[in-house]
Amino acid sequence: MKNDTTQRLDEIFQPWNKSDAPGLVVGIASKGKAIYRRGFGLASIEHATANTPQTRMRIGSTSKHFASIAALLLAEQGKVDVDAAVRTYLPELTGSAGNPTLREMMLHTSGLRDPYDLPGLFLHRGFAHMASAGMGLEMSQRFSSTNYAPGERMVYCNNGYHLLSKVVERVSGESFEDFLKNHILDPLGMADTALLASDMQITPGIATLHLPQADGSYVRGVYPSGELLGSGGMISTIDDMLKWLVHLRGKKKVGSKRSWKQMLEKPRYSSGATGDYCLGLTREIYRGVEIIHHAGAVLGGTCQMLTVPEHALDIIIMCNRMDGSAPALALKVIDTVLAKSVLQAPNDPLPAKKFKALHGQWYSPHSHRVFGVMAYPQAPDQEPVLALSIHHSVSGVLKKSAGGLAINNPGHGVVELHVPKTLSKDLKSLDISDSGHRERYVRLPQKVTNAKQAFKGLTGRYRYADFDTEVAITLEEGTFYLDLLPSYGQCRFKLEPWSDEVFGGSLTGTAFIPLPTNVTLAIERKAGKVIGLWLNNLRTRNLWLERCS
Amino acid sequence: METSITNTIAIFDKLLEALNQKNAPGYVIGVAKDNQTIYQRATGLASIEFSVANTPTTRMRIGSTTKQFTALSIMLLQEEGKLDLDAKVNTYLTDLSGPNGQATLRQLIGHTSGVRDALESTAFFLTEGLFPQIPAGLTHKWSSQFTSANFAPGERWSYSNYGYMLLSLVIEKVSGLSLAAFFKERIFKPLGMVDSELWPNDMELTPGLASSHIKLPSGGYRRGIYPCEELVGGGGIVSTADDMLKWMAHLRQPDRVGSAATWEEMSRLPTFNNGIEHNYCFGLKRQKYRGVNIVHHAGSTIGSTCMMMTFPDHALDIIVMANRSDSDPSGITLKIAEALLADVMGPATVAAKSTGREFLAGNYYSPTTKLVFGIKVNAEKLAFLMTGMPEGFLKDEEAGLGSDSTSGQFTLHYEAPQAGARLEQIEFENCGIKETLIHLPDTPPATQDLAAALTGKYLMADFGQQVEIILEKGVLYIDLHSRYKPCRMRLDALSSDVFLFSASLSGAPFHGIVVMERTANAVSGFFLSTARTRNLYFSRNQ
Repeated sequence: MKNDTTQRLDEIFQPWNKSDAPGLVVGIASKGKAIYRRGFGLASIEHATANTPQTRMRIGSTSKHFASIAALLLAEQGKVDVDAAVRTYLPELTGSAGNPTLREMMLHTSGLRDPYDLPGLFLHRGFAHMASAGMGLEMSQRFSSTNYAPGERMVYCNNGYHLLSKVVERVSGESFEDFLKNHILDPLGMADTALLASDMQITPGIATLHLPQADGSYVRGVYPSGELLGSGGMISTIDDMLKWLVHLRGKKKVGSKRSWKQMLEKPRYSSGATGDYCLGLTREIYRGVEIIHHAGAVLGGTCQMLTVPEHALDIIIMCNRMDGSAPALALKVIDTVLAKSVLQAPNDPLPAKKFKALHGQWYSPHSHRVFGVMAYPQAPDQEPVLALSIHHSVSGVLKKSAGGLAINNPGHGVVELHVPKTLSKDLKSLDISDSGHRERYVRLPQKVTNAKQAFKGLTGRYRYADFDTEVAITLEEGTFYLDLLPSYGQCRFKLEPWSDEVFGGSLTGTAFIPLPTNVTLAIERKAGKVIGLWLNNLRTRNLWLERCS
Repeated sequence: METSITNTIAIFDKLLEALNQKNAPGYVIGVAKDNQTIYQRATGLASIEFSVANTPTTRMRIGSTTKQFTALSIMLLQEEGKLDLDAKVNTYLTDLSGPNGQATLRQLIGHTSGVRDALESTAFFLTEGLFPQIPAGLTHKWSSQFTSANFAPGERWSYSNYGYMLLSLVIEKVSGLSLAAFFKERIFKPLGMVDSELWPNDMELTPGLASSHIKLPSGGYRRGIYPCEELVGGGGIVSTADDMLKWMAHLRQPDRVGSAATWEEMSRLPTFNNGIEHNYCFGLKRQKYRGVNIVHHAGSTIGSTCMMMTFPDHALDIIVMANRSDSDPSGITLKIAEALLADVMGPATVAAKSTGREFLAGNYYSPTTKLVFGIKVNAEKLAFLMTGMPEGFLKDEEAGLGSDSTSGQFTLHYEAPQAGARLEQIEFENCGIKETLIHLPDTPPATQDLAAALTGKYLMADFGQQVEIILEKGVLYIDLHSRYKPCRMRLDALSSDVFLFSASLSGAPFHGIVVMERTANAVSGFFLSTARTRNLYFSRNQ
C-alpha cells in the first residue's frame, strides 16, 4: 500500500504513540492482505511493556456475535431452536425472564432486565464487587417485570447475551470458553483468541486495562464480574481478528450459509419498522458504503471491529485505556484508506441553533419515556451540534432522516423525531418513534413553581421488591435526591424537577464501577398521594419503586 | 571468609534451584553479613502476563513487615513531643468514642490493645457474605461502632491489623502528612531507601512492582488484589532487597533515624498488665531460634509474602520476598541462616510426640472466656487448633507443653488421668493468665436434638444485621439471608452449646466457633469467635 496512506494513518494514531501511557493496537487489511499492523503506547505501566501487534486485548461486546454463532452452530445440529423461549434451555427462568427467544436476545429485543444495570445499583449499595459465577442467572430469576414485551423494540441488553452463553453451556455440556475454542477458534486457527471470564484471571500476553485519573495516574480496570461470557468476555489480537474478518466476508469454514444469512439479517420490530442491529453485528451505511461492525467497551478499554465488505477493507482497533475511542478511530481509518471517489459526503450533524424550537425535554405520560434535545459541543472550536438524550443520557447526534431527524445508535436503535414542517417556538407536543413505535410527547416546563407544594409527600422510603432493598427520596437544602442508601460513602442521584411529575437525575458520589449515571424519575400519584416512582435510564425501563414509608 | 562465602553462595543457589521456575512467580532474596551484601538473587516471574522476570531490584510487597516502620514513626513523633506513647488513642482520634478508643498507642503497637477489627469477621456479616472491595475509610467507620472489645487493653495478645490502621491515622493527624509522605520524608529518604514507598491500593498502578499471584487448586495463578483499598501502616509498604538490607543494617546499628532512647525503648520486651513479658516489640518479634537471637517479622498480603529476619549477634540480615501465595519465605530464611550459622546454633525444637499423651486429644472449652481449644493426634504429633482452626503442633518447651499461636504463647498444665479414665480439664496459661478448659464430650449431641432450642432469628450487636439459625436436612446453619447470593455458615456441634462454624469467604475457607448463651434455660443469643475476633454477640430476635 502507498507510503502516503501509512503516513496518514500514523498521524491518526500519533496521539497514542507514547512510552509512558497505555494506548492501542490496530490492524488494517485491504483485500485480505494486512496493510497496517501497529501497537501504540504501553501494554503495562507496571512492567514497562509496550503494545505490539502481538499484544492480546479485550474485545468487549465484539464478543457478542461469537456467542450468536455459537448458538447458531447448535441450531445447525438441531440441538437448539433459536426461536424457542430461553426457558426451554434454562428452566429455572420460570418468570418473565424466561419468555424471550434466543433470537430476541441476540437482537436486543428481548426486553430482559439487566441485573448489572440499574437494578444492580440498588444491590451494590456503594460496593465494587466481583459478581461470582452464577450470580447473573440467579439475579435474572428475581425480576418480576421486564422492560417491554419481547420483539417490541431494541434496547441494548448485556444480560440477553449472558443468558445466551449459559444456554450454549447447558445444551453443549461444554463451558462457554471450551465451546468457543473447540468449535470456532481452533477450526479457524485463531490461537491467541479466547474467553477470559474474569479480569482476575492471569493469562500471558494480555495488556492491562487502564482507567485514566484526573491527576494523570492510572487505575487498574477490573470488570466487576467473574463470569464475563458472550456479552463481552473475549480477548484477541489484531492478526486473529483480521483472520476472522476475512472469514466473515468470505468463504465459510465455521457456520453454514443459512446461519451467516441469519447473522446479517436486518430485524423487524413489532411496529413493523426494521433495524440495523442483526445478531450481534450492526449493518449500516457510512458515507455511501455498507459497513458491518460491532464495538466493545470494558472497564479500562474499548474496541472496534469493522469491515467494509464491498471494498474488502477490514479494521480492528483495540485500546487498553478507557478514553481510547476505537469506534471514532475506525471511521477515520475508512476516510483515510478509501479513495475520496468511493466515499460520499458524510451525513453531517446539524447545528443546534437551527432547531432551537426542539430543544428541551419531551415526555410521554403514558410510557414515562423522556427524550431530550439539546446543543452538544462536539469540538471546542466548532459549533455545537444537535443531540438527543434518552432518559437524560446523551445518546447520539441527530441527523436528517426520512421522517425528520433521527439518531441511529447501535446501542439503542433508531429514535426518530417527527418534526412538523413549520417549527414554532411554542411547540408543545412532538411525535417521536422509538424502533418504529410512535408516541406523542409533551414538552416539560423544566422548572416547577412552588416546589414545596408540588412535591408534598415525596420524601420518604421506597422499596424495590425484586431485590428486597430500600431507597429514599430526601430533600437537602432545597434539592431532592434519590438516595440508594449505601452502606458507606455516598451514592445518590441529584434530582432536577422538570415538571411536577418528572425529574432528571444524575449520580453523585460512589461511581467506581460502570454504573449508569443518569436517570429520569416519574411520580405516580393516587388520590393526591405519592404511591411510587417509575425509574428509567438508557437500558432499564420503568423500574417500580413502591412507597413504603 | 571469602571461601566460606563462595561455598555459601553455592549452597544458596542449590537451595533456590527448586524455586527457579520460568513459568511461575517467584522470589527476591537478599542476604548481608557484617554489613556487606553477600547474596542477591531473584527467581521466577514478576508477571506471568507480560513474561517479565523477577530481578534482584524488583519491587515487592512486604505486607506486615511494614508494621515496624509505623511503630518507629510513632516514636519519632514522640521524640518531637507531638504525642505520648502511653496516651489513649482517643486523645488523637477524638471521635473514637467506643472501647476501641481506650487502648494506648503502646498497646496498639504491641497487639495487646484488644481493639476489634471489623475487617475480621464482622465485615462478612455486614456485606451479607459478599465481602467486596472495601473502600478506604469503611474499615475505620465500622470498627468505630463496636461497643465491646476483644479484651481489656493490655490484658492479652491478639494480632490486630486495625490497631495499626489506628496508628496510621494518628501519625497522619499529628504530623499533618499522609503516612506515605511521612515514611518517605522521615525514614526512606534519610536511609537512602529509594525504591520503598507506601502503596495502599492494589488497584492503582506503580512501576516496577511485581504482580501478586494467588495459587489456584487447579494449578495456575489468579491475580492477587488486596480486598481493601487502604493497606496502610499495617501492611502497605513496597520495597526491594537492597532497601530492606539497608534497613536491617540500620536496625542493628541505628545512627541516622531515631534517638538512642527510642531504639532502647523499642528493643525492650513489652509486658501485659500483669507484668508478664511477651516478645512482640515495636513491629518486630524478638526471640531465639535454636539458641540464637533473632529479630524478625513476616508479611503476607493477597498473593505476596515476606520474611525479614536479622541475627543481630552475628550481623546476618536476610530478606525473602515472594510474589506468590504458595511460598515459604520463613522456611527459606531459616535454611539460609542455618547454612551460615549451623555451628553456633543449638538443636531445633521439635514437635512433641503424642506417645503416651493420646488422652489429650479432644476439644476444650473455657467457661470464662469461651475459648475453644482443640488437640488432635496427627502423625505421632499433637496438632492444636484455636477457635477451630489448625495452627501447628505442640512442643515440649521449658515451661511445659505449649506453642506460639494467634493468641500468643501458651502453655498447658494437666494431670495425666488414671488408666482408663478421661482427662476432664486442662489448665491453659496464656499471657500470664491461667484459665481452666473443660474437656468437651467425645461424642457431641445429635443436631436434631439441639435444633429446636436454637433455630430462629438473631441480631448482630452494634450493627443490627439480622441472621437466622435454620435446620435443613439435618444440618444446622446460620443463614445470612443475603440479598446477593445464598450465604450459609454450617454449624457442627462440639457440645450442646459449643459449635464449630464453617463458611466460605471470597472462596477461601472461613472457620470459627459459636457459643450459645442461655438465660433461664432458653437460648438468648450466641457469641461468635475467630482467631482475631473474640465473642461477637448476636442476640435472639423474637
